[in-house]
Order: sequence, then C-alpha cells, then structure tokens
Amino acid sequence: MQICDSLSTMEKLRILTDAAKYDVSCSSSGSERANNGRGIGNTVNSGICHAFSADGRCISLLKILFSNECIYDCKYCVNRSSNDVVRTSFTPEEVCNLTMEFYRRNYIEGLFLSSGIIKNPTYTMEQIFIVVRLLREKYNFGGYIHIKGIPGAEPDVIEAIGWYVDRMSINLELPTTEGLKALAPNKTRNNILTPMRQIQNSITNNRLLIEDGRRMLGRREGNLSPATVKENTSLAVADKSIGRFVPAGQSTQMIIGATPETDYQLVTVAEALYRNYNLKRVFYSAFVNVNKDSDLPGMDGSTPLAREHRLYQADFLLRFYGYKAADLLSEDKPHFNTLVDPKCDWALRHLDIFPVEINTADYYTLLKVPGIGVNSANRIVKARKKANLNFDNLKKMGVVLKRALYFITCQGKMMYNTKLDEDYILRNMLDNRIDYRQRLGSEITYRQLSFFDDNNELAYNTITPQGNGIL
Amino acid sequence: MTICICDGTTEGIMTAVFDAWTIGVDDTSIAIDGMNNCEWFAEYHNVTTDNTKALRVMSAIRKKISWRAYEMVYTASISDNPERGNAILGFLRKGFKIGASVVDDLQDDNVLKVFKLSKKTYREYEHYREFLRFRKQGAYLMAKVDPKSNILSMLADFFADRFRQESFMIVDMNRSIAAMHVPDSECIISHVDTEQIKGLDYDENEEEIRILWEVFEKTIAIEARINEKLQKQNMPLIYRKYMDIRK
Repeated sequence: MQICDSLSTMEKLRILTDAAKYDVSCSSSGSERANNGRGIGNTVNSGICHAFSADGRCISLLKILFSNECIYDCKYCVNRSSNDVVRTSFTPEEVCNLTMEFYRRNYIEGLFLSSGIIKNPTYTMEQIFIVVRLLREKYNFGGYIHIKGIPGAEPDVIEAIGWYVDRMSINLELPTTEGLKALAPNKTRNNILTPMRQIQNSITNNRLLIEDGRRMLGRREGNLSPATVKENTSLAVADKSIGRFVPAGQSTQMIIGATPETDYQLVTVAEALYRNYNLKRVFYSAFVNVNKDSDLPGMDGSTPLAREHRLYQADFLLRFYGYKAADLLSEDKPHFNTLVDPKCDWALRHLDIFPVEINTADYYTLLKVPGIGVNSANRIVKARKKANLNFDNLKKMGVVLKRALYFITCQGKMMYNTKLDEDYILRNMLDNRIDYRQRLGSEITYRQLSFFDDNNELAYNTITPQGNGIL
Repeated sequence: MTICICDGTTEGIMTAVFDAWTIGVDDTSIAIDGMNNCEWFAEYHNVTTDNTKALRVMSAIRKKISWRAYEMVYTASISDNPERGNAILGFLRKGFKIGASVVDDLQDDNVLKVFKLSKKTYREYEHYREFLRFRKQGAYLMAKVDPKSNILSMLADFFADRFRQESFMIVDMNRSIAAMHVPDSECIISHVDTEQIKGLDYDENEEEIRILWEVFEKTIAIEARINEKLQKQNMPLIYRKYMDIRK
C-alpha cells in the first residue's frame, strides 16, 4: 500500500473522485435555508442538478472521499485494503477550497464527503468533523453538506457532526446478515443500524423542540412550510437559536446483484427501513464488478441495470402511491416482471377493480391506474369539482391515455371498445408499431354499405376478411 | 372587435388588461407588438405602458383572486408565446368572476393555456438555474444566459440571496440586458452592449478551476453505465452554449 502525500490537488481529486463514484446518492434536496447573512450559499428544497455525467446521472454535489486509505477489506469495494492502489488524503483546507471555488461558479450545490477508514471508525469521523466545522465556521459556507457515517463510530462524534450538516447517511450495503458476513465481515448489522437509530431519534427530538419553540411564539400547530419560515424572521431566529439537526433526513444504499437475494427480499427490507427508521430515500446501486473476486458473481452477469430500474420504480410506488411490498411481490413471485413496470403488473393482476370512473373515484384508486401519476391525479380531483371530465380534458391535463384507456371510464363510457383481459391489454400496450388511436379506433364490428362510398375506398377494403373490396 | 396592441412586457400586458376592461372586455383581445397580421373589421388601440395602471391590476389579482393566480399570470406573461395576452385576459375574466378556485379549473381553455405557459417558464428558469456558470472577471463574477423567456429577474432574485456577499452580473445575451448585484443590496437590471461583453477575457486562474472541474466530471462517470443519450436528454445541447465547456 503506497501512501502519497506529495500529490497535486488535481491528482488527489482524480484518485479520490474515482474512489467515491460507486456511492450513488447525490441529491441535494430536503433542506430549505436562506443565506445566513455572513457568507455564501443557500439551499433549495427540491435540490438542483448542475450537470450530468457521461453515464446520465446527475452531478449535484462535489462527491469525494476524504481519504482512500482503508483498514477494512470488503470484497466489493475498490478501496479495500488488499487492493494495490495509490492511497492519498486531502487536507481539510483543500476540501474547503475546492468546495468554495466550485460553489462560487455554480457547478455544485454543496459537498458530499465520505471516507475510507483510517485507523478506526471514530478517528475517521473526527477528521470529517474537522472539515465540516472548518467549512461552516471559517469559510461561512451555507450550502448543502451530505456526510457518510462510518459504521461503528462513537455516538458523540455522530451527534456533533449532525448539527453542521444537511444530510447524514450510513450505507446498509447488503440487505441480509449472511450477505454482510460473506462480503463485508467488518461491518455488522448492529454497528450499521445503531447509528441509524441514533440519528433518527436526534432528528425527531430536534423537530419536536423546534415545534415547541414556534408554538411559544404564538404560531398555530401544523406544518409550517420552509418558505414561510424563511420569510418570517422571528421564527427563523428562534429556529436558529435551537439549531437544526440533519434537516434533510437520512438515506441509505443497497448493492443489487452482488448476492443472491430476491427482489422480494430487497423490497421488504426497503419498506421496513422507511417505516422503522424514517428514512428519506433508499438508493439501489447496480453491482459493478471491479475486483473480480471469487466470492462475487462472475463477469457473465452484466451490470443489472434493468433490475435496478424496476427497484426504483417499486420504491416510488411504496413512497408515493400507497402500495405495500406484499402487494407488489410475494414468496411465489419473488422477481419483477421484465416486460412491464410494477404498477402495470399489479393492475393486470387485479383487473377486478377496473374500470375506474374518473369523475367519482377517490384519489388513491385513481393512483392505481397506469398512466395516472401523482400530478395527474391531483389535477383530476380538483378539476372535476366544476364539471365532469371527458377524455379530451384528461389528455390535456397530462394523463398518459395510451396506457390508461384500458382501465378508465369517463361518465360511464370507455374510450374504445377494449376488453378487460390480461393478455389483450398486455399485447396492446407492448405493441409500438401502430398508433393506438388507429389500431383501436378502427376496430369496428359493422359498417353501413352505401352506393355513394367512392371516397371511402380505403375503409371499404378493410371490411372483407381477405382485405379486398367487394366491388 | 377591438385589438389592444401592447409591447409584450409584463407591465405592458397588465396595462393592456386595464385598458381592455375600460373599453369593455366582451369583444377585445390583446396582441403583442410585432407579432400579428392585420385583421379586417377590427379597431386597433395602441397601449402605452403605464406603471400605475399595471400595479393596480397586479394588486387586484393578488387581493381578489389569489397569490397563486398572480404567480401563474406573471410567469405566463414573461414567456415567449404570442398568444399569451389573450390567454391572460381570458384567465383574469374568469378569475375575477369565480375567485381563487380558477387555478384548478383546467377544463377552461384559457386557464389551461396560462397553466402550461407558466409551467414552461418555470422549467426554463430551473434549467438556467442549473446550467448557468459564473466566471471570475476581476472583482466580480459574470454569467451569460440566452433564454427564450424573460427570466432574468427571477434568476437575479435567486442568486442575490445565494451570493449575498458577492458582486456578480448575469447577462441575457438575447435581449441585451444584465442584472447587476453588489454585496448586501438589491439587483439592478439595465441595458448592456453584448459586443463589448463578448470581447472580455477571463482571469488566468479560471483555466485552472475549469481543468479541475473537468477532471472531476470525467472521473465521476461509471464506465459500465455510460449512456450518452440519457446525458443529452437531461442536459440538452441548447443549454450548453454558455456553459464554457472546453472542446
């Protein structure tokens, strides 16, 4: 293991970015904060993606490792101690300078800092604490900071860092104990879940304290939007005197495809994490085989990108559409359908609740229709108060009629003469050759013959089974 | 049939709304100067932009309809669609009649048009907020944008909070206007000469930072997942002109 201290900032940046790229979470969302009046920077609740890399992912934060020295030997990681790579570390000033210069030019929203484990987890987190405190207090940086927690660190240092950052996350890596033991024996489920629980409790206590503070100023209970707090200076001052602990919440990451868990197990673990630890996001990282270790799946399996895509779709269904993991998959059906997305798949297996009448169905039933998302469902519910909606209105409001038409009625009528049959609908949805309006709109069962049909010859030709005209 | 011709700015359109109301809204429409053909049997009325009239209309919208309706009307008025005057007039007629729920009534043609224009403007604003790049030019930072809608004041407002202690300038190359900001003050928008702007050179150490950024951007991509089509979809080529990407 070579440790190089005399590298230029550019060389260090290259090595430590290359080491950090497999950590997929890069969002800068969840925290809304105005400029603090002393320095530079604010945050936006929705997050901002300033650039996109060649693999299509968004670059929103300066994602680097503080150091790629590591005492652990996790089999999937490019930085493991048995790999012979150049090892180096930034100095805290280098990290701060890079962050400030990039931020000033609007390249990034903030900093994402992780690290390999130097000496022991607590020592590593102490070094990260030095960087974060320098950035916030000396450089007066007000933008977004996301820190990766190291499993096994002492609670004190995690508590201290939480007051300075916007988001703190700890990677679950593998969803089962067996998987962790096989690939990352130094990380146990206990020393990953304990700090997650600690952060969750501290966030809840902090929110309750802030709520109490606002109530004492005479504000009514209930959710005050971040924008309202921004405008109301006395609230903002009160919040600041209490401080915010990890305002953008926690997230975590799981590796897909390195161990033989089924999609059902992954989705159940994700659901349990959202419910029990109040996570904001679970990220799924398709396994990229960098080490070619004998314990890892061989190179015949390419990077499982399609599987990762399906898992993200299922993740959104769990969070925004009111689905449960048991709805989507089960022990008998442990993997996702490759042809259709999970929502369509659920709809095709539950055709008994369709067709749904747009003008009377409730919000959550509307959400179950493929082609109607959260935005469209909201617009439908609000617009139908004035008058009944028809298919034309729906199309203009952004409903994907190409998928939804098999499942909905407007004022009692379906759009075309379609059947509520699984194979029929699946075949039609996957058929991309002809536009659905032509294909379904011409499925006529009879036509009135006439002597004056000379300008309808094309339609005439479709009447006989062979396709030739009678005359 | 009376057609009011205004100059296309937000204040112009609001003044035209005021004038149309005094004339009688039933048979009036609003056209943008320079974007229309002559029509038979129509009377033309030139609208001189009057800030007091515009402010009266704007405060009436905020009081009698809602803040959200005002947001929608403002963002629709700065977009570049020639039909925006008429859509806003129709929207306001309905809004003053039924009140705050007009923003949800997407079945009405004018409400839908204003909604879509407002969304389009917000999308462009968000894109420019992402892709705008500042460069150090002596004592201040400078950025160039070339938007289709007139979003300069929205951008200036955002960056005035983010970079409250910095001096910066954002230049709209299409309209030859720029927003200027000095520490702890409001932004000023004024006309500039784009030829002069094009001729300015950046500081020497700008090149260093650009190279560092390029190293970061190229290294962060995972080779097994390279997808240029997705990158183009997320970061369209039309926004890349003033991002100063090195060849």
